[in-house]
Amino acid sequence: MFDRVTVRMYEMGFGDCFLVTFWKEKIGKSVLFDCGSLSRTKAEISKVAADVVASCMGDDGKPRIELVVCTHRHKDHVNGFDDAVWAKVEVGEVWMPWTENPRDAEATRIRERQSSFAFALCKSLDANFKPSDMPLADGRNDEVAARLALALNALSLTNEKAMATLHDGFAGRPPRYFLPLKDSVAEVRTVAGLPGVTFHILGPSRSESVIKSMNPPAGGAYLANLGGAGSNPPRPKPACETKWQISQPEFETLTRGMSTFTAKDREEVNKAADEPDGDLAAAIDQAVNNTSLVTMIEVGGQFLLFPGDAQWGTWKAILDDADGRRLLEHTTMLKVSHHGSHNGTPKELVEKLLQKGTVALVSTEPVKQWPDVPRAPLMKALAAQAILARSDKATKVKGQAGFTVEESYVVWETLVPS
Amino acid sequence: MKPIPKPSTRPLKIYATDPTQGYEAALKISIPVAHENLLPGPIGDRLAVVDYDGHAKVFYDCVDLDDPSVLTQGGLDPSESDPRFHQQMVYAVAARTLSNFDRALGRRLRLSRGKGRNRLRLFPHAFRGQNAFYDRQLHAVLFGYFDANEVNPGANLPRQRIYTCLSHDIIAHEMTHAIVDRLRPLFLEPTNVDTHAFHEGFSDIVALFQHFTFPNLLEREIQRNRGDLQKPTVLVELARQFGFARGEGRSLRSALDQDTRLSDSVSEPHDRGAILVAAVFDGFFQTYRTRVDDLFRIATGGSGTLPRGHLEPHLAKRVAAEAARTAQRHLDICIRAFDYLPPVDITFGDYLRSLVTADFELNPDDEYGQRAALIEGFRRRGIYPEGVVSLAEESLRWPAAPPLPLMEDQLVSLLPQLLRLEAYRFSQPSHDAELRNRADRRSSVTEEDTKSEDIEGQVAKAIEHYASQHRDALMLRPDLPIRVRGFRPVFRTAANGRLMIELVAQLTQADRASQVDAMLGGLELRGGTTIVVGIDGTVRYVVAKPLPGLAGEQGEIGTARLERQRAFVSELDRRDPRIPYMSASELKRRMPLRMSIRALHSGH
Repeated sequence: MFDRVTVRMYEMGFGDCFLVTFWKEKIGKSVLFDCGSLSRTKAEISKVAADVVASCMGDDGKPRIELVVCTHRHKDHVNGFDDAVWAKVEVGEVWMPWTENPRDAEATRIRERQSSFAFALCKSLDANFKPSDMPLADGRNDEVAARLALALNALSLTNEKAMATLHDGFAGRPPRYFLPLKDSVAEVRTVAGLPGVTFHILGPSRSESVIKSMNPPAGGAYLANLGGAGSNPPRPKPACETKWQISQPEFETLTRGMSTFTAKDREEVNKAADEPDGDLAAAIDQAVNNTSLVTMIEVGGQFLLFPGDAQWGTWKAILDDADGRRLLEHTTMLKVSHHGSHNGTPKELVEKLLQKGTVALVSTEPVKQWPDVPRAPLMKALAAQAILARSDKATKVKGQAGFTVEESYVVWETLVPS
Repeated sequence: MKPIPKPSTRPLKIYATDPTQGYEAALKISIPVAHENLLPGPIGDRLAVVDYDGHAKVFYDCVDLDDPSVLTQGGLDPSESDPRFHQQMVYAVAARTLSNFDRALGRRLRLSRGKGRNRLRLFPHAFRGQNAFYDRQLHAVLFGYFDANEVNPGANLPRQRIYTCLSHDIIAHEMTHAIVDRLRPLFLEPTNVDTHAFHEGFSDIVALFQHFTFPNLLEREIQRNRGDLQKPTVLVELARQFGFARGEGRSLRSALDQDTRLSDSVSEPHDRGAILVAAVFDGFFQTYRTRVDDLFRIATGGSGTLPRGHLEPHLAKRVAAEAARTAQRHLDICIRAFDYLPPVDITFGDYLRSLVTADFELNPDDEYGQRAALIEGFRRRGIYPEGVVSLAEESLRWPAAPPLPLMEDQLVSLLPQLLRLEAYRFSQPSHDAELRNRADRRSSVTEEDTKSEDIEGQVAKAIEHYASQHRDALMLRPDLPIRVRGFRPVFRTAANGRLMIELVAQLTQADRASQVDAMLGGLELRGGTTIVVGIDGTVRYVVAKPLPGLAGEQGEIGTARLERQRAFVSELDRRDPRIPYMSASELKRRMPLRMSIRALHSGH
């Protein structure tokens, strides 16, 4: 059994990498949640990956991680796995949300819809985009770049190598589990190398409403209009056969000048037909976030909650469930979802369910394009209710009980009396 | 030849059920539409069809419904491929929906929005996409078209072209959005969880009840289902083809909602609206069953137990007639409630109170038990008005207005002119050929509309003056200007045959200071009062949504409303995927950005 646990939050910019280690005296066993960033270069992310691996050396001098959790397939959570260093790491198990299961028809449908939507969207934003583009890290600062970053974030093409590591990589042939399993409710799991540690799988639910929240937004038809490959826009598909078409002068004559349809109206109708409603990039971002695997680790009276980037749909399903709520009330440490965005953390959780003194870890970094992440009022509310540590303002917790601040990460430590 | 009377209606053919392949052929019917002279388009007094395809950027040939060869056929035959039929169908269903409102509201609705916008425009093929929506800025309803789902197209062919403009339900639904926006423009502002849900639910209610005004469809379904209306049939389901073609394997929505009750957790506007629909239809089904019970008993020698198989045709006819009458009365009640609604911030509870009050004023005895059945339907769905102690009819009715001086002083000279105008617009012309043709020489309704604008301006001023003198009693803030909207005389015939004339006006105020309130997301905090005035100048009802800052209880209600609105905005924020990525200026305007039927519909 273990006597203490540490949670290491790497400084990843707009991304996530959390290493949880269970200690028995000097011997630690590790669980890794995600490794990726949208706002760091490949070299910077690679350094973090190497540090993770170096921190997980076993007695035999070989790196070993008991459990790797991929919360969801967004680039800012997985692109660090596109790295040769992982091939020599022995891994006990790999967990992913059920939506990653290659043999689950519904999951495949969701992935395909999300990914083809993201592809069409990237294409519409920048016909010459490359999957390897990193608009935020490249320092581009305009609306299109910000949208492209989100669309690329969701595009599986950009994560193929990282996902290949998660699905087939690592040493030791770890089994893959896609959670929660199909027929389980409030699933409770254990991992062979981690005695006395219980994992509660809180999401993503397979309920109809949650699956709906994973669907790409309507507006798909708009993207379909753009067609797939090729930079020439496809020929429009008129509503009716060509023989019915008339010219504008013919229309004016027929309606005897009584039509109120002006040139300006015409522009407006064209606009409604040609432009999607709302921000599709943000919508696909949320759809993928809602596939987040939500895990609560229970060990010696500590309850560590890792919700990935869960947003409204996934949270609602947990809050609507009596067992889910009860577990949330126990939380002693919260990994704040979605880099501290407004919709990553339900108000109810902060105001009603979290106990005073809970530790809240936020992996975030303000980027120019998105001034509202992290959300200031949420940070304020969390600071009032919890002990808040931000990856971008790590020095603020320096000297606080339980916290250690290093150059590239913050560590929070607590005892776990058995 | 002696003169032939001008027809009062024009027969036009439509698809009564969506043109889905398989299952069974679409039901094609002919419906009577109020007669008006039409230009090719068709372009009428209040509606203009514009067949412009914004996706392909082309116009389509437009139908001349006054062409003799079209007239002889009673309108074009239904066809999926002929855009001219599409234009006819959009026009026919939209006009039919409009007439239903005219009839229930007791006045001729105007759809003009000033110069260049004197008609509501209908675009049957505006864009490619699985949507159709009313757009206030364009003053138009835009219908989309798309190709059916390749994998799961339901009874459609894979990739079959689907036209939302060929769905009666979609046309009626969007048309209702347009009309509601006309009657209560501020309901498009989502100030609480019910406002958009009301827009959606009410539009479904109108579309569904209109199914019952098609005798052929009604008789067929009643015969097949042995008089049971609560089976999932085309009668009580909405937009079958649209739902199936999208690959969902079901109709878009249904009046037969399972046993969902109203709770805070149901907040998506369509889902929440569905509860309103279910409440209204619970009431309708109950009344219907009571009304046809005797018919079944007469037909079965008192037992009420029907023999096996389809219903006997004569019985089906009588039952269908009763269903149609009950449905029409229910629809009338649902629409009539509008005049008693507050001008802003509607809740389902307000709607129930308005329903009950409006119907009580017209039919105090509730002869058919319809009002009681409606109240029961709302109760079953958990819809309770705020601040009402019981669901007894007396407590549900809006309270009578406090004693106020008569309004007649201000209106004594204007009222006769206003009444004459409205009466002129709404009165029934003679059916006698000669008289009718003579009457037709009078000026067109559109010309009258322009004339009346002047008088209405004066009336609005008079009302504003009256309101500003009685701010306390009308629950209006002393420090804010009053805006008068939609002042209308209303003509109705009560159950006892007497004429009921009322004047209805909406008075609204906006709290400018609220503009800076970031938590309201760029919507001004509004308050306001609807007043219902008798022809003698007595103020009968004062239905208010007070602002904070008023004295006493009203002020408290106002503060509570403000809090509710803030909480609702933050609830919407939580669900809005754009929120994390909005710029500072978008964040400031986020609520106006959400005020679009297009966005509302793209979720469903």
